[in-house]
Amino acid sequence: MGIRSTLLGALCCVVAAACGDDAAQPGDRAVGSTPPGAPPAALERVVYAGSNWYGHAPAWVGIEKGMFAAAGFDVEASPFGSSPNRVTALENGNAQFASLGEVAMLEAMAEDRTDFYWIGNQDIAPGAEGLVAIGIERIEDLRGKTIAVNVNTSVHITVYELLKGAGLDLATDVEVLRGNDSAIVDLVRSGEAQAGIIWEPYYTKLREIPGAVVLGTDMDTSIYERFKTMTGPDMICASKEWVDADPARAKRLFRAYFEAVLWCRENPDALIALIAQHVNEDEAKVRPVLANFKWLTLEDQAVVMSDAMLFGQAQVASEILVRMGLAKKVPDFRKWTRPDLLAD
Amino acid sequence: MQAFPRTLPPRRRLLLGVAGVLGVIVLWWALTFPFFTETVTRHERVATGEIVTRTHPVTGETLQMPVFDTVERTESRHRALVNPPALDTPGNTLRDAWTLLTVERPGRPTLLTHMLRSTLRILLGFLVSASVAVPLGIAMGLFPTLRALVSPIISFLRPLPSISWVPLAMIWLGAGELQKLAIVFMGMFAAALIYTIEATIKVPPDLIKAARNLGASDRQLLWRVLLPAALPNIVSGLKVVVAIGWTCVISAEIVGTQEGLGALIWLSKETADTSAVLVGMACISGIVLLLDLATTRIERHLLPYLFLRERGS
Repeated sequence: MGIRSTLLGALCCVVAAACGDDAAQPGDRAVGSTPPGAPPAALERVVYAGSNWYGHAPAWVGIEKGMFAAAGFDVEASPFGSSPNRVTALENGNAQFASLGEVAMLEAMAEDRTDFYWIGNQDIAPGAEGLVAIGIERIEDLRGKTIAVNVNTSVHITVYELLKGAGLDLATDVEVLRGNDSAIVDLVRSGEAQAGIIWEPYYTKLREIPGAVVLGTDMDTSIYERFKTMTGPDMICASKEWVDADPARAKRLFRAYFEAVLWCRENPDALIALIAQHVNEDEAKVRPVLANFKWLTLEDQAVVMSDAMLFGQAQVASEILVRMGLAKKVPDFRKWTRPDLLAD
Repeated sequence: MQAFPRTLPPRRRLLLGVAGVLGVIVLWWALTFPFFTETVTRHERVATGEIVTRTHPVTGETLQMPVFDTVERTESRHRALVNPPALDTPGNTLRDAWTLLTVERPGRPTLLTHMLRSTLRILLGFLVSASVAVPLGIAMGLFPTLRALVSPIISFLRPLPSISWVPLAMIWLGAGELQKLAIVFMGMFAAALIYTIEATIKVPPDLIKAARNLGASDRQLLWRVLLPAALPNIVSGLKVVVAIGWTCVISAEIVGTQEGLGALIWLSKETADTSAVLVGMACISGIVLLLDLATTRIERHLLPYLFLRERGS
């Protein structure tokens, strides 16, 4: 009887331990990973919505180098597919903060979706997306041709701008073939599209197709010329409900996040190794992509989140989205910002 | 009065159908009508009056930047049980449908173009799959050896959802019309084949025996007995296959096209335009209904004896 009770008790403990982790919800207090040497503390579980794109590196750094744990958070970086999915994850409380593409953010704002905040912008990586054609030397020669585009994303604005700069209209002068990520490469390789536009790492694959000619990148757009930023940079956003519940807690999280951004800027070689390990890619392939990155720290945010940079850029990008029929109106995006969370 | 009547008078059936549809619309309206008022906190960005010196992170130039803080304000807003983008009101959805139908924008196909493109893809896929599946199905129904040979392959293909063919079809055929035709074909083919085999096997053996006793040749048995007897079930099966075709075309239109109801639905989902998604779905149902009416007419033409029997019963 005694042995049976002991075994039963042990079994219950094992089951409880196995179920316990799954049952934990964001916001629960849990003992998470702590930096080496630091005393274990009760950490608050927070979900970060991301993907495998290198722009999510500060979240990975914050987790691995202990910035979040030092601030009292056990951050879990979860993949949430495309940027629109990440906006939804913030709105419905599946994630507390996320990095996502500006186009998805502006479109959600244009739909008056107010359940998230726009906190800041952690990086710009100009030159990481480009228009590549096969056997065509000039953008002007794309008239009547087919371009493979990941529509409703930053590259959609980039190709619109590049064509406009060459006197072409994306809606009437070329045929747009819709695809995403690797499909863009396949469409161009198979000859169904004579040109394609996509970001890294697919941009490199596009350039590797025999006869490929780079016709332009996001650095050749009027947006870059005016605001020194891309057509749709990565944005840091947060769940409104989570922030409003305890703004001081949110402030602590974003200070830790931007500490991780600073680490990214100050440790380029270590960052390459960390990213390569995280995305299971050769360091040699990560290095050239990362060379384009400029990490924007907490101190930079005053300029970044102003008319001189992103506010000016977001206004122009929103107007383009409305012209393309992808957004119903230009949103008053300043209403989604929380400068107090980044203040000293 | 019968406890479980098998049919209803046509007028009553129509009235009940209309009542059912109206019921759904009223429920939709009730869910999306802003009955409630809630107080929400808004945060307004205000300049503190302080100016700080900052360096532009890209150009390196020195800038004098105003410092901003956040002021909290509360305001009331009207809310429904379900709010956009989860679900818009019936009125807004109808307005969006009208815009999609009538407003032509360069590079943005109208609703009619979307509907025509998807319907053409389905009809073409249906023609190709039926023209392969029906003869093969009849042959498999007639010859057990062929059935034993092909059935394991069909058993493997049958459970595969059409969306699972998208990656392979893209690698093998690109993302053009051929890929879309292939996905629609693969989705429809297995179902059409199985319906045809079943219809052929289920031809009453007495009919075959009687024809043989009356001295029918193999050719006469096939054309005068087997096919007419199997055709009603084959046609019923093919009507179901046309509806299956819609799940296939929506998968096929994920990539490589701007035109088609699938493209409209996928793109609208990305922009959280629920109204357009609902309009796309309603169009699919509408087209399936029209195709169903059209196939019933063809059925009446091909199999008039079935309808005579129906009238007579």
